[in-house]
Amino acid sequence: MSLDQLIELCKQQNRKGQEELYKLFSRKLYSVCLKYSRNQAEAEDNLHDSFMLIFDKIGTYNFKGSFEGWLKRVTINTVLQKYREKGTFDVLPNHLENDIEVEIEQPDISLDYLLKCIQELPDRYRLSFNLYVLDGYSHKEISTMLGISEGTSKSNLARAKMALRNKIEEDTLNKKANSVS
Amino acid sequence: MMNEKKNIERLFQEKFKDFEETPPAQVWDSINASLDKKASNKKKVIPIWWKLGGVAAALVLLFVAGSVYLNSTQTNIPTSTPITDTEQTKTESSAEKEIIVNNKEVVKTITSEKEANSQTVEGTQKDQVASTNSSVAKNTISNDVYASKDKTTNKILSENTSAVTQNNTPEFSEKVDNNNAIVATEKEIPSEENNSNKKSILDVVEEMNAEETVAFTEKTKVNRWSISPNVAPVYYNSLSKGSPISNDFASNSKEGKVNMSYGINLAYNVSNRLSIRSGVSNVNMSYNTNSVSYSPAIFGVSNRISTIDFNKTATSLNVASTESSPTMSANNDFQAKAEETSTASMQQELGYIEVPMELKYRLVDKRFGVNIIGGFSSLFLTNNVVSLQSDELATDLGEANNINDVNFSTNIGLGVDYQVSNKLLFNLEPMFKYQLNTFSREDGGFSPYLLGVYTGLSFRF
Repeated sequence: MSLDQLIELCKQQNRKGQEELYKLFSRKLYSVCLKYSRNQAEAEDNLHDSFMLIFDKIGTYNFKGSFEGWLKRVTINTVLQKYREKGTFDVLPNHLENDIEVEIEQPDISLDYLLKCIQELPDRYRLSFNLYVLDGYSHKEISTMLGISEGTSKSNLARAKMALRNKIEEDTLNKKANSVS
Repeated sequence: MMNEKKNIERLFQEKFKDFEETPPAQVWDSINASLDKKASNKKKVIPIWWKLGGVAAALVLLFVAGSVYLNSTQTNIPTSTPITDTEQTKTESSAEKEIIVNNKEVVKTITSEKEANSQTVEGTQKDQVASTNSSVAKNTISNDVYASKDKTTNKILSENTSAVTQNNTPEFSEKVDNNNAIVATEKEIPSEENNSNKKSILDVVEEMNAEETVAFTEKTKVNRWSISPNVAPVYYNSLSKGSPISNDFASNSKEGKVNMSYGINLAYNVSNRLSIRSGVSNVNMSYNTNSVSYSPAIFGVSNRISTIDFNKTATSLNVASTESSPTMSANNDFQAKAEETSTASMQQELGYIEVPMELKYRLVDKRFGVNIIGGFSSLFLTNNVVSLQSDELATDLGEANNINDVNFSTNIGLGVDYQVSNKLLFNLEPMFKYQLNTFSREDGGFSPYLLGVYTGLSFRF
């Protein structure tokens, strides 16, 4: 069965088709949810809600553009929607406009650890970092999606990068200290 | 390796490039359960039908019982004509009265004529009996006399007895012939026979009349009640340009949507042409306002739409018209970016239970009938949702607080029907329903109407 046929099945709310679609894309979308959420439990909730919205809205998918891209956008929107509901985008007063280069000395780090670092970031930093760095949205797009200014988006990103570097370096130092002692 | 500096963005990008992870199995289980729940929610429409069906069945039972009761009183017509006549004049409308009165008079004159006849017959027969000496003849004739007396009260019986009379008379004349004794009575027999014949003709006339009245009353009774389940696509829109939500959206493009209405009507025929009807139906209306922008409200919500009670989940959404967005420019961060907020269409859904009260006048009374319909409906609010709809997002904003729980509409329409059989009609009724007081305040210059093509079947009983 081709992907288009599968999508048609899902448009008819066919349960087998829905299960098949879930099997095909849940790994990819779960990774999106993990990046954008605070922890695994929240990511599971978000994945559930995303698929519910996908099955509900699949009728509006018109086969233009990549289906995977559409799925990802719906998923990201689902997560962002939750933060909108919680009103977590309160802005910080002073901007850090400069697009700073943040470098790190420790490139050999596990993925799980990096994921944990992202999840521990404050919400607005995490979302900006994910959207810009990992999912390739422009600051202009992010400002629309989050309802913030481009300046705020840039500032959020810079702060996110610094927070990540500090965290990683701190942990590496601690690790070194532990191994020395 | 250890000291090689690396751009943090690139580090994450490389690491997460092919990042995929299998979600725990319980996620699909819960999605599956949610889909089941959603599917069963959709099926909940049926109980409403059941309820409606129950109400309809109760009404049908009630009126069937009523018509059976009426029937039982009206089958007594032949035995006591004057009483049923007054009953009929009571129930019949003015148009039919004249005919009934005419019938009554005819019946009365017939009865009185007949009474007079039977008296004269009695007289002549008694005379005749007195003049005869044959006891056999006496018995037969007096039998006849009693029979003719009975005729005035019971025509069926009289029919039998007149048959008996005819059987008897030849016997009687035979006996008379055999006896050869009574010559005087021989002369009387033909006249007596004539009399009885005369009576039976009058009887037939009376019978026919009685049958006609019975048939007449039955015919009107059959048409009196009818019950019609119906279903209609209804189109909701406004006669004016305004917005049902707020004046802010008055200039936005808007579109009415087509929804379904279904229900059941009970009609009572006041006369051949005029009927009055009521019923109950479920009607949904929805209306889209396009070019609505929304954005998360980071400064707290500055300018809410006052006519919407926002849901908890939507409290931090700013919603405004893209055509006139002064709300956005108030926030300095947004100044140049009002156009960058997302756009969607705002959908208002209203559900009502409708109870119409309408008069229907029959212009063309053939197998194909044409009717005009006018009246009003009471509408009871059952559903009230305002939601945002875009390609990727659907959010319930909340419910409108400027909608009256009960409102009225004036209805006008044209109905055509086709008589499939005496008891069954197929209806098609385009109706225009103008809403009178949908909004309690701030109607945004919106004067809604409903356009529906009601199709259904009418069962007469």
